[in-house]
Amino acid sequence: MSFDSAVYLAFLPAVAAVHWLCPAPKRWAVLLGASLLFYMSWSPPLTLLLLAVAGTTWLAGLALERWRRPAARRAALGLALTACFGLLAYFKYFNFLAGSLAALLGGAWDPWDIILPVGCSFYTFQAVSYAADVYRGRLAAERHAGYYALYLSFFPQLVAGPIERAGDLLPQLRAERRLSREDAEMGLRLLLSGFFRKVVIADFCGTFVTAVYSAPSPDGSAVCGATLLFALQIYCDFAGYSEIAAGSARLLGVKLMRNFDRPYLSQSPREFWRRWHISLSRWFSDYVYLPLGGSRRGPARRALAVTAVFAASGLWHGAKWTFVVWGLLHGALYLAALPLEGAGLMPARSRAVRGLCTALTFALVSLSWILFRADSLGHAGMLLGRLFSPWDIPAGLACLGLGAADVLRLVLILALCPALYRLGDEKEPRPGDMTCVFFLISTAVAWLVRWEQGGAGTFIYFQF
Amino acid sequence: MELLQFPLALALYLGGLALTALGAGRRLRPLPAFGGGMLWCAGTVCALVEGVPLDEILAAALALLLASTGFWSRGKARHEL
Repeated sequence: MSFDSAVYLAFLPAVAAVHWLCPAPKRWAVLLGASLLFYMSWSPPLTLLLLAVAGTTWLAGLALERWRRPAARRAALGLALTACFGLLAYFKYFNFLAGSLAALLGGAWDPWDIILPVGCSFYTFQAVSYAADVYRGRLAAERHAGYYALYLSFFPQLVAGPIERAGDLLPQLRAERRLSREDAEMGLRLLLSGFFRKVVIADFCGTFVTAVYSAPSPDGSAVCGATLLFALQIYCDFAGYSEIAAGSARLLGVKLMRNFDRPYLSQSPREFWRRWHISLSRWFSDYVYLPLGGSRRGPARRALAVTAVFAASGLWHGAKWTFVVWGLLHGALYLAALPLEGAGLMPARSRAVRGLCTALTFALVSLSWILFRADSLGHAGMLLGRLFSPWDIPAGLACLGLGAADVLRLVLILALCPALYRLGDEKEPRPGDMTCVFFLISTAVAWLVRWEQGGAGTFIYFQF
Repeated sequence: MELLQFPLALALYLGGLALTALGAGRRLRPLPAFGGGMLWCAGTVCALVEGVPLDEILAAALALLLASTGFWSRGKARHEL
């Protein structure tokens, strides 16, 4: 059951209705049941895996709070981490590691038929953060198994985040919530904004990106166009998903964290990672970067910590060398920008320089997306080579397949970005009625266009 | 674009666009905006009858959406409909 399916449009209001009609002390059971039903729509057997992770880490949390001996507490933490990372190691990385080792030894590897559980990269990280916070004494262990299972499996953010902290989500799930007019309005705004981003923008851009990435030898101008369109696609796809998740949760009286904050307006790679997939950046900062020493143990140690974080972040996105290299590239850009910030050159004071920094950051990030989207390192190398070779613009446009109506739609989409941002931002006043109606109409028509053309594109981050 | 071959639908869309833009100017005018929306609906009915592709109808909807935001008005003076 994907967010942009007709089934979900029936599922969400039904769950919300049952939830609000139910007495407050029993609402957790309604949400847990709905969340497990939501996950079972992807794969019933793998729901048992989710429950196994929940059970193991819940028990580990109780043990961490009860046991006082350091060795025993470390053992409990080790059990929780082994359950989570062991699951990822087998389901996500086993074939990749085995294949890489075989290639290194000059052999071949016949991949095992292992299905990646949907959302496991997200719920395992949530479980790890819970266990680590209880171990450090920052959080009291959750004694109610139902609430803890709900924290891990809460359906709006189960499959693709945001990666919520137990300290933020559990109190909300436990609280006696009431549906306020403000929550209902903001929930609907976020849903509308999210669906608009996904259906009107992301899926539209995706058709042209796929055309170029599946061509055997696209022209450099086509690669340039596809690179820019993919930058738009991946942002609107993931930010759209996050907004649908936040809107769904808001209709249930729960506030999820903001996961994106206009990342393409960043003036440096470091700022980009404070604005892009914020929940993941904070997770890596709190549970990898700072424990490795952060910036407190000198520049060499800091560089090592940054490299480890970005390598791990790349690998988290997928079991392919393209993702690892993508992560390391971002680590290198992050480290390269540090001296400029240290010298007070960033953020720039001059408006012209700020604009230049923003454009340069956007260009570097967009180029890095080639690694993210390509099938292999060789494929990425070919595309980069074509990008920096002489262009044949008519051939490139033919490869992209952009028609006059498509260009018009693209121009209108770009012009609508400020209004779209205001629609989904809580600090901005609600857009006028006509504007909201036309957002809705545009989304509905785009849905029909997509249905007519033969189906939905899946959310990109579902594959992680 | 196939829409250019059907002057009635195109005229209704352009009329809707103009009225919506008028309604979304610096001074809030709901009636022209509502009229713009009605013209868009009429234009869409004509377009569908004539067999205009849905993606061109979508482009028209996006254009009216943009007009309704009054994007040319700066800051607090902007009046979204």
